[in-house]
Amino acid sequence: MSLLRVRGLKKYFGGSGWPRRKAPLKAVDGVDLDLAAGHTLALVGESGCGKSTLARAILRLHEPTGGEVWLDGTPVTGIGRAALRARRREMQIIFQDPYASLNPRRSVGQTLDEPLSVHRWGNRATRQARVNELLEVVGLRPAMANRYPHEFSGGQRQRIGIARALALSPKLIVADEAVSALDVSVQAQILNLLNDIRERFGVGYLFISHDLAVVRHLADRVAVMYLGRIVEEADTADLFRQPRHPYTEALLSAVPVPDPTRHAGRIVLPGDLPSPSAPPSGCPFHPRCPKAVARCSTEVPALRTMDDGARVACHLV
Amino acid sequence: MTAPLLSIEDLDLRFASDRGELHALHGVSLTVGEGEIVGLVGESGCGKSITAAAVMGLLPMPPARIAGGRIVYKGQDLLTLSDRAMRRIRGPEIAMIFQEPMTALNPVFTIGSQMSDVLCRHQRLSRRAARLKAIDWLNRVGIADAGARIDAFPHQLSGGMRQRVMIAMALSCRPRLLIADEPTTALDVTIQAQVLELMRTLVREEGVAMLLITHDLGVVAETCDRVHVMYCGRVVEQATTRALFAAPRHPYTRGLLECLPRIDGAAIGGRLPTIPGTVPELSKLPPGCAFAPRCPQVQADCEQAPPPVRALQADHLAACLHPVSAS
Repeated sequence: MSLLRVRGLKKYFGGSGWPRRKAPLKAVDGVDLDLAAGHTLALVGESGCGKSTLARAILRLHEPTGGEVWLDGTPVTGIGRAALRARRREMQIIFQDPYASLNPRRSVGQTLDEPLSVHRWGNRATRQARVNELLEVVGLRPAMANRYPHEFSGGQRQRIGIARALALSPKLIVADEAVSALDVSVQAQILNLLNDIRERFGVGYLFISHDLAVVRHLADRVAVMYLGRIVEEADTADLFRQPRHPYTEALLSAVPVPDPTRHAGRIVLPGDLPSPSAPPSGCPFHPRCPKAVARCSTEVPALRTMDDGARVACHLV
Repeated sequence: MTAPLLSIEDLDLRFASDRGELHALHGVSLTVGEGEIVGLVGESGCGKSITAAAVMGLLPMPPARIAGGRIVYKGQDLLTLSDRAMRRIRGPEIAMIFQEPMTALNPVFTIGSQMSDVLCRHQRLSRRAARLKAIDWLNRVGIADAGARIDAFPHQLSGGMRQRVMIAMALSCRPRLLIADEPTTALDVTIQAQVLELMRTLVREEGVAMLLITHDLGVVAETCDRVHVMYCGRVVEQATTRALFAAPRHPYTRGLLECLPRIDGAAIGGRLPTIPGTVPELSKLPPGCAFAPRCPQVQADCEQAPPPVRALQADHLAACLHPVSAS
């Protein structure tokens, strides 16, 4: 049974305003996902493709427009506020910017204690012990609990963000560009920490990133988004060895490789990402697709499951 | 050997701050030859961007203070030039593009008027001729329908298009040197591929030299002829791109390359090698080699004094007393 199960999830913005009815912006438009416990599903795509909105809709940080989400077999959508609040113990998020996601006026100890006290976890003494334990798990010293965010480096702040997400022993952690703001030498440390935590506590990660090399390193499975839809989803090794959707192929070939002797054939896509408020007809990728045929501009390709369990939305596959 | 186009010699730069003077650059030396593409890489705060700003004369002084060194461009020391003389360098001789094209462009003027301003000033063209030339350049950087786009305001363009406009503006005055500070960092990967391709082509066509500042070793590998690696205000290694990636000699460079997750490597998953610790603060640099506290092969003499830059092979320099072996 999957830890996270998402069916037909939609998140539209605007569209119902008075006096004029405008077409809504379909940031996420019918997404199905499954994530097994202890696994990492990466969500990749370029800015504006809807990957962060999807993550927030799953956590109901954005109220979804439609669709269903189950965590560990029980629904997250269609439940009331009080019930949702209780379920938030099981799903946590780590944000991109470790400078903006910590309250500068709170000591690290207070920051880590907050989720515990909100959820009435233990008493003051056990919470104190838990804070110390969390700091040790993420590679910081318990004595640091009295310090404030400005006294830490970017990498250390991200460790604090991870500790806060772990506080209530969640089953699912959503990492939204969690290593993107870090320098490479620190990024490697945080990636190792995320790996250790997954092995130690068996959490599942929904890992959102635009960095394909990082995704290849960390994820078991990868879903590629384009304009609010998943266009391809496959096991990491398969996707990187043999991308099937033309967009995935172009995306992979566009990544600069730190090896000057490699002259791989690069597919340089023409044009910009279309605006999600005015998506192209048919396959949303067809205006930039090097392989597009007439059918692509009229008919939206369905996301079909292949023999090996991968899913691809392309008429030509 | 002919003199390089740009030669930064032993540049020492300090900033006044309320915690005393911060020593941002400790004797940085680098050269860019005619038509050469040179990379300057390093992590945040290593001094790569202020090196570029110093060349352009864009540092506010005070708080910045140049305590030593020279910046020689075509035989003249830019640091001795008056503001007036410097204005004749910026644009027609050395142009710069920045990471965030939205903040580099003025939001209340059309891109056409901003491009024409530059052309009128430096090439002494009439408004009308400047406009035609601007359209011509927009075509060259691949902006479709340039005749109409020229009247667009910056917010009406996408990030990739804005960066194309910046490139067009920078190259329109025919500079000999282009300084590009993280030009593709804010762009998506498919757009980055377009813009890098465009920059490489134009720079080669125009015979312009380029100093490319970036934190992305992949971008360096596929763009630059030669690379300088900076750490804590010093150039710690410089070599041809091939030599540097084939056999990095400074332990910092090697560490950086090793801890990078790879899209082309064999292994997936597992533990990444790391560089332990973090970059020291400028105000708390160790007395010896700044990398010594994080270095896996540190020895007692590393902590005495900063190691001098020395040639390990022809055209491969490193500031390390115990460099990684070349094999």
